[in-house]
Amino acid sequence: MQFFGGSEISPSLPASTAAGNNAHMIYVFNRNGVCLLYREWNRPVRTLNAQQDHKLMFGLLFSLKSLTTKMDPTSLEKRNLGVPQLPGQGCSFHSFHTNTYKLSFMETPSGIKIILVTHPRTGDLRDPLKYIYNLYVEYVVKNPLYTPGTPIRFELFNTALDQYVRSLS
Amino acid sequence: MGPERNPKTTRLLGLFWITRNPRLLRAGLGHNYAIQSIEQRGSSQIFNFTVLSSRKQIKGSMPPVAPRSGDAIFANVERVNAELFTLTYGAIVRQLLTDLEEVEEVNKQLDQMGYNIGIRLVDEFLAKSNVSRCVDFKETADVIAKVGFKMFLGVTASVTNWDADGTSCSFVLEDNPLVDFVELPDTCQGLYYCNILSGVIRGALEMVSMKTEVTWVRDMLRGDDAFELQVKLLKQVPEEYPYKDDE
Amino acid sequence: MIGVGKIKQYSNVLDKPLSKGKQEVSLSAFAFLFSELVQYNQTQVDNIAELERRLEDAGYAVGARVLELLCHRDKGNRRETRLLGILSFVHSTVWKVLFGKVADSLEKGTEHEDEYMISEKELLVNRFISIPKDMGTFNCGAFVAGIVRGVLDSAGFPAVVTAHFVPMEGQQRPRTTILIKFAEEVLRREARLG
Repeated sequence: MQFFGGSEISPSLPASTAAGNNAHMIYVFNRNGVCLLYREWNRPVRTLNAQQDHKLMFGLLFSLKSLTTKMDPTSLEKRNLGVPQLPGQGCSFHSFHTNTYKLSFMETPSGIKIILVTHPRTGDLRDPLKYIYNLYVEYVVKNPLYTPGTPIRFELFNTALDQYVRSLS
Repeated sequence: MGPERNPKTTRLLGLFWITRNPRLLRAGLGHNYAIQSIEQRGSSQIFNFTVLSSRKQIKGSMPPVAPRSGDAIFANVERVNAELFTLTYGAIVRQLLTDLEEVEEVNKQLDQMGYNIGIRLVDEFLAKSNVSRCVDFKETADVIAKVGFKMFLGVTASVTNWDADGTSCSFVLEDNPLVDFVELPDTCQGLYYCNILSGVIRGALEMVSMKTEVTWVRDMLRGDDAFELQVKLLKQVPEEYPYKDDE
Repeated sequence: MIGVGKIKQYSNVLDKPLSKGKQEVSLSAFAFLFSELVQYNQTQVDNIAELERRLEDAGYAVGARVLELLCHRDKGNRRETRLLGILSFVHSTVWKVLFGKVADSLEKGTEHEDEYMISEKELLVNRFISIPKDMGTFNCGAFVAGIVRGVLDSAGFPAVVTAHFVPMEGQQRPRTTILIKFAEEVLRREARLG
């Protein structure tokens, strides 16, 4: 996998359009690495089982965060690679794209991680990720029937999320 | 690349590999800096070029959003009559006293319920306040007192009694909507009626990696002149990789 | 010490002037507290009916106190004695104090003389709720039904009060109807009063 590189975007990839749905999939993890939510809109290729897939995604973020912090040229505080960090400590990345997709990432100080994988030409998704975090707060966290740390299975949230993600360009 | 394409706006912080005639520029932005990387497939070899630059210089990057004040948030959120809240809390305490009988058990259960609330409420707090990091205990305590109490209960707390090494302080409540209409009957003298609050603080702080111990120092229902909660930082817990390698 | 000066101490809660009821907390503070009430009671029961009954009990305690409070503060210790009077007191005064608005509607049951319904498009306690399929007909409105029963009972109008979701045409979310079925004695008394 090429994180930052890539030749031209492959011509076969459908161009992004404002009207269409650009999202491939979304993941929400809590601070213990539990995948609270996984949804996909457009994922033609799947090679791993769901559990391995979630673990790989979490591992990618965990390592990448550790690497970006290690490479931070602005911070004096250096830690060894792989040394655990406090969420919100040091620096973090919020997106990368490859020639075939873009991954946008948000982490809250409470360790909630939201990952949205979209078409590589999608614009800055930091505000939309915040919006999704707010949806999570309104429809999941405040739902009296939600037990923290368990997978989300509320229709109200899923509908709201689906509508919102489909509207992203 | 960069220099060619964007000669004035990119402040270089580091330069790794360089090549000629880049065909494509892709950028990955970090909070503190940006990585721009190009890969060039040349006639016989692949050149790689990576620039670390200050993220302030990158066109289109968002300025960090300033945290909002407790008053501003409280003015903007939906509110309910404090009496509904107070009476509902009263009903909960009454239920616990009936179910558990022992006052000591009720104190424990209230603290546990507070903890359960705290681990959820922290996300609402973070989403509404734009607080993006809670690494420093002192800062965090200030934010809880000024923003946290205000945005949920509409009251402010003051932070006092810092110890020398900055790991323990007190929240003193100026007003406490939980205790309107409340007077402890003789049978409940050992009850910490507001124990839910200590649990909330403990739970919320644990979610931002701070293990704390929260205890009541003064309680007006027990004849003291104020409500005072002492919060002691035990340790900060870094985020561990949650899976075992062979899992 | 900072802030302490603001708190005035009363040796007895009765000496403290009764608040005017204008203070507010955030809706989410209430939502989290209510969530915990539901979660705690879930650990105490085996089935949905039992859970609703416990929420209703908690609501009853709130309702009884709301009546005391309002009669004392707003009505100079007078109390409604007629059926329609108490119903409209619940539908408007009580609703306004607790939920910040008058209830959407108050209707008389068409099939039974002793039934009345208070309906709300979006009841505060059902605001954040989304019922997972395995919980079937569970309705957090049981808490509000309890409040209503608490008010009515304490005012001398014993009744059975239940909460129901009623699907509405063209709406994604059902409304909540609080169904009040008065005890026989209430209707007999009402008939005597003419």
